[in-house]
Amino acid sequence: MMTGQAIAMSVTAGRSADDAAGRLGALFDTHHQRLYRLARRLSRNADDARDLVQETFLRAARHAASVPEGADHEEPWLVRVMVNIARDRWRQMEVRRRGATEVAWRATSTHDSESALLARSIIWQALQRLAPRRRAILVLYELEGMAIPAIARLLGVTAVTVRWHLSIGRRELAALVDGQRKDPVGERHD
Amino acid sequence: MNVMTDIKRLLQEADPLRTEETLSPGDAQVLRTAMLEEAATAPKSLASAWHRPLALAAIVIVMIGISGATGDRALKPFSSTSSGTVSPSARSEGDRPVDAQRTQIQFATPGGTRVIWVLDPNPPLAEPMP
Repeated sequence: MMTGQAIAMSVTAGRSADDAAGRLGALFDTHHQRLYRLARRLSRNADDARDLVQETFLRAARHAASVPEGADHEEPWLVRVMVNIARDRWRQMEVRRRGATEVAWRATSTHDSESALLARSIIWQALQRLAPRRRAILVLYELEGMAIPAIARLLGVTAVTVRWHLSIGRRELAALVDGQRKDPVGERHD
Repeated sequence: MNVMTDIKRLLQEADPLRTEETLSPGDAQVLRTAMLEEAATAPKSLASAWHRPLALAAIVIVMIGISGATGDRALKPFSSTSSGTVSPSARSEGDRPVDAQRTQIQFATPGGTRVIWVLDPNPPLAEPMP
């Protein structure tokens, strides 16, 4: 038989669990569309983007106490977690991808006859080859139109770092696209 | 075409969100449910994370209480001179041996000379005149 104190503790625990679930639900409802848009632009396809969003919110569920209060603080936390997850996956895939990249690019360029489609494919595949943080900065700046200070706040870095990544990222992207255009089938000339 | 200046335009044209739909309500519901289930399976870690600082504070308070009580008990015999114990200075010479009252300090100099100081708490104040 439960004593009055035990019942009170049980009710309090139940209420705190409800509060945590309610807070997580609100967190998801507020941020999932925004996160998915960013995830989609950071990923090769929609399935990868969904996985990325899911893993981000699962981490939020596992570490609910670490999620800061308030939408202004929640969003940067979620974005940083997502970029970190993307970085971990990118590191794992990068080793495997090195050997397969040329084959994939060659297959794409062979099948896509229209130059516009080819250009889109090339730039998007080149974007996927950038390191996730740099990719995120390029996407946030070029596609989402965010200002440099806002990106810096979101990712928890300085504005100088954002500018540096933007500069290097654009250069890397240009080099990748240029190289692919000049040698669309990935043939070696040495 | 200059690739450097066209990066923005190329990215915008290649943006998959121009043609794809965003997360559908059905997909969003699946992700939301998975997240809440994950939170429900780990309620202990959630609770312990919130209560960890409180537990730490309670331990500190208990330790301070115990050390306070112990210290008070340890100091009691020395502070109870009024309860009938006799202080060393109040005792007569015959009550205990002379050596017990004296303190010796011994040390050696770097040259090897050994120095012994004997501190007598009751030095003879009236020396006979030669």
